[in-house]
Amino acid sequence: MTAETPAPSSDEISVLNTLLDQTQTELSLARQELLRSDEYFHSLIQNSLDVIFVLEPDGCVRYTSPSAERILGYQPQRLAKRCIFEFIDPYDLPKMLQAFNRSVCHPQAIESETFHFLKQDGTRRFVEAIFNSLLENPAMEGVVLNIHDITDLNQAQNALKSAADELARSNQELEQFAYAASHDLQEPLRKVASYTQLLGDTYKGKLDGEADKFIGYVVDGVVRMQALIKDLLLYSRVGRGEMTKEPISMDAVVSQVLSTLEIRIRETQAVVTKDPLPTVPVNRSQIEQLMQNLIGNAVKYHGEAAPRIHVSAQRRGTHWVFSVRDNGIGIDPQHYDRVFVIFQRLHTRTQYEGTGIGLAICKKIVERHGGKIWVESKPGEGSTFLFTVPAS
Amino acid sequence: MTLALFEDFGQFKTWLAARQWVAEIYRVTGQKPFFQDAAFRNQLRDLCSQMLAKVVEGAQQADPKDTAQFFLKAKDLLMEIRTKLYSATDLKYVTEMTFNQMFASATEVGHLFDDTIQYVRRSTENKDQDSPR
Repeated sequence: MTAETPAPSSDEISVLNTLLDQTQTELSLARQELLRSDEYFHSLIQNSLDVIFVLEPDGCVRYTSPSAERILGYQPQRLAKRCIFEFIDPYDLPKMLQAFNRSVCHPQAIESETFHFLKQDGTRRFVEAIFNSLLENPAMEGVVLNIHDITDLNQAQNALKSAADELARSNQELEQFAYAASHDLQEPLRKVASYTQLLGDTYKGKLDGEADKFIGYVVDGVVRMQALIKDLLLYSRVGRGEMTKEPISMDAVVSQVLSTLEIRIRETQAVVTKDPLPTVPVNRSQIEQLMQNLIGNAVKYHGEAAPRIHVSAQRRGTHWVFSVRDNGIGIDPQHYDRVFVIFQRLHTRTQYEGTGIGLAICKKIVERHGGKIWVESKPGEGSTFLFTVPAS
Repeated sequence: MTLALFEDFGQFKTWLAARQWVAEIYRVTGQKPFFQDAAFRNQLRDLCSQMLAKVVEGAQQADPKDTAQFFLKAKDLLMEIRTKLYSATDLKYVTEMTFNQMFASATEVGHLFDDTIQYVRRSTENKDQDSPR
């Protein structure tokens, strides 16, 4: 016995038609959405500044993004099924292979390498390549290679490095010259100094008063030139040769400096205090010179009150910041940078003696140790000289 | 100074042959079941990149004697890879036919390495003879 299916009523057909229309509309909307999304991602890849490849496990190209034509000059279809190794500069191929091998070995891990990619026109582009192995991803089963052209950046970096090298070489030559000149000038100047001194002693009072005055000027000039040359030699020595570093107690350094400056401290009735100071890896003689110059300046540039100087240190990240604070005459902020420039002086010799090299030497010593030096001050309110030294 | 032989290194016959042979090794090791044996596959591929690195380093040497040394090392690595192909055949990762083809290509690349070494050595001898004693 067979049961006959009753024919649908007109109402039921109408409902079914409505449902069908709705489904078709939804389908059409979904298709449009899919197309939009597809277009969106296509446009994203097309306009990317990178070239994206999907490679087979043997290095053959399965997919190339359309940007390859714009960036490397290859139409994507011409690269299909070709081995990517053919397009790498021969000299760079071994390291590219190693990066590819590492990527295949470590799925999901990101491997990066730089090498030259051969363009269609035979020129080379320096690229940064990011390998991402998605071999275990069923939707991909390949190695995604993202190539970013860094030729211009690399050229700029190379130009910068050449300029820096050239500057370093030129500085070294200049230092060599300053060293040789100041070293060789010492001997004849010593002779001039001795004989003018002798001239002054022998003929004092035997010539007229004018002659005594002129000889005095000559002696004074020679003594000053000797001081300048001695400091210049010291300055050029800071930058010369290897610099050995060892852990040095800064407490011991300050004690040594205070002992060296004992007479000047006593004469000016200066009071020098300090916090406990750390041990840092530095060159002993240079750091002593640095502290001697800073504390010596603090003693020298005092106002009417007796100098009060305090030395302290504070750890900031990877560096120690040392400070030498005084209650001296202070420095106008507009001269902060000038004080570290060689032969720059803010006062006349009659006000304060000096050659104008002391703080330039300090700057050179600190920079050779990989640190920075600066001053914080206001006229009449004292100065604080701060410098950093790497903690390790 | 680079030898004239290496001036257009990208078109240097020995280099091209070595690179193609390496690409073939990658093709073979990229197929199942070879690809699934990660340790063996990586070993072979690493040897390949090392071999090409020796060729590249050899071409960049200023002294032809050093160039010859690097090509000798490249040849040693080539022979090591060739020997490992026997194991790949035993493990049935490659067919007898593929093995024979790969083996023949390796021998050919080896001969090209020998030719390069001979050429470089001859250039050294000529230079030594030319130089004043």
